[in-house]
Amino acid sequence: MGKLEYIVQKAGDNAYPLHLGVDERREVLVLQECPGKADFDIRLGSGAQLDLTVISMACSKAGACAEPRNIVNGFKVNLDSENAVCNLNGVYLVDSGNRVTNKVDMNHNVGHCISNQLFRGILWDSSRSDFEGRIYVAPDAQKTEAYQANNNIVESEQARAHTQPHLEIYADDVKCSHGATVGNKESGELFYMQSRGISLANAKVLLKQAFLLGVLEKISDDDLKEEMSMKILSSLR
Amino acid sequence: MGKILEIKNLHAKLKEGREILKGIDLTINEGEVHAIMGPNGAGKSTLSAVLAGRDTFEVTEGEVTFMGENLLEMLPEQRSWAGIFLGFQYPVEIPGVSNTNFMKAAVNEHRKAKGLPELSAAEFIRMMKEKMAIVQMNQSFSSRGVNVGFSGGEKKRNEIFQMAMLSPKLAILDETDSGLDVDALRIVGNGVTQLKTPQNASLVITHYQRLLDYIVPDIIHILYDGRIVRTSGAELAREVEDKGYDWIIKSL
Repeated sequence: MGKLEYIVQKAGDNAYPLHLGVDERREVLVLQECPGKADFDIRLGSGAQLDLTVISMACSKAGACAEPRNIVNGFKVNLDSENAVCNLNGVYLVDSGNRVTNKVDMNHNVGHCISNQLFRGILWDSSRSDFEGRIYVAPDAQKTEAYQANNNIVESEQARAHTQPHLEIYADDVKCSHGATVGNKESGELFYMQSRGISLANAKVLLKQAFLLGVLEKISDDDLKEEMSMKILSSLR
Repeated sequence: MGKILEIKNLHAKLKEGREILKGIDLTINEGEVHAIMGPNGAGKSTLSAVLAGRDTFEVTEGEVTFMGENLLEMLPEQRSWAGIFLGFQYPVEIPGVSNTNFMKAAVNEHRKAKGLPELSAAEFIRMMKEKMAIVQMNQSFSSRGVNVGFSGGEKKRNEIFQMAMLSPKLAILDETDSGLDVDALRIVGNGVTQLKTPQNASLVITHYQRLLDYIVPDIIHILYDGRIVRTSGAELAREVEDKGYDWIIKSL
């Protein structure tokens, strides 16, 4: 894989045309700490692979931009050539009255392509997140593999995590799955940790770290992975 | 011989439900190994959960004194710092938290509670290696998520490894033998026996006698319908194995 491209997103509207040629491989990491909109227009040539990770920090502890820090991401993916692989990863931390939206439109227009979507977020205060994930598999797009997961930890009664998977599958020889969870942490895990002497507050942070690490581990560059982990860790509570 | 645990007339119920413990009296001294046996539904696991501070149960009556302190007022983590260890019947899987990070957090909080500085990375690794050897645990387990993908036997060995890392005053082992084959049973039994000192104690909770071949108790209690109905020496286990629990229940 080529070198990872790391982009710190500016406030306002942002366009990301990600058009990969035949057998091209790109890994892109986008850090969002300011309010704004991002449109990812993704087209992959035959045998191409894109690994895109978007970290949305709509929380008061991160970044210098003023609140409200609303972040809207649109991912429009067209898989028009065979054997392409598209991996979309998202992490969002949202607090106070902020809001993060991730809208994915994953189009398997031809067969033999693979797509993975993994979005995880934590919400505090009266924040809100929206995840809309559409997977479209065209009638002759056989041997498609399309997976989607959106997991949310909601830390306050006032916070809202909306998640809406939407699958339109017109081919019959495909592997597709989607899963969405919204919840607080498992009390069994917390009690187990407490019973070993890990205080409740620390146990909660460890579990949240582990939850987000499931996405961050997709970043191939160890230094950037560490930098992102530290940034996120310092915003957890 | 110092008193470690004293339970007086302990009653407990499910938070939203029926009474399960109906007046338990039990005293455990330093150097002793106690076993609690009993049929399913007698309240064995409830007793261990209540002692460890699981909040799905509510104590309605009675007292529990641990090392001279009121145990029932402590949070689960405070009980751990004070020296209680619960070996789980079903150890919990924690994806994404490695065994090493899990134990580092636990050991350092124990040290903090005692006013000791954190262990250096090298000291901690040395301690892990030493304690893993007690239960013949492969070192590749350190980097894996806590109990994730472990077999039944590996999970129980991991429990005893954690016990070794925390050196509790009182180890409560809840059905540690369930799901173990003979080899794992021997390793777990030997591990617990190696950790025994004249200053600590264990409470082994089991349905069957077989674990008690490896961890020989000084005293056996039979728990039935939320009460201890018989207390005797180690020979009682053999009798239960041969005749079941019915004869004790009928003699009540």
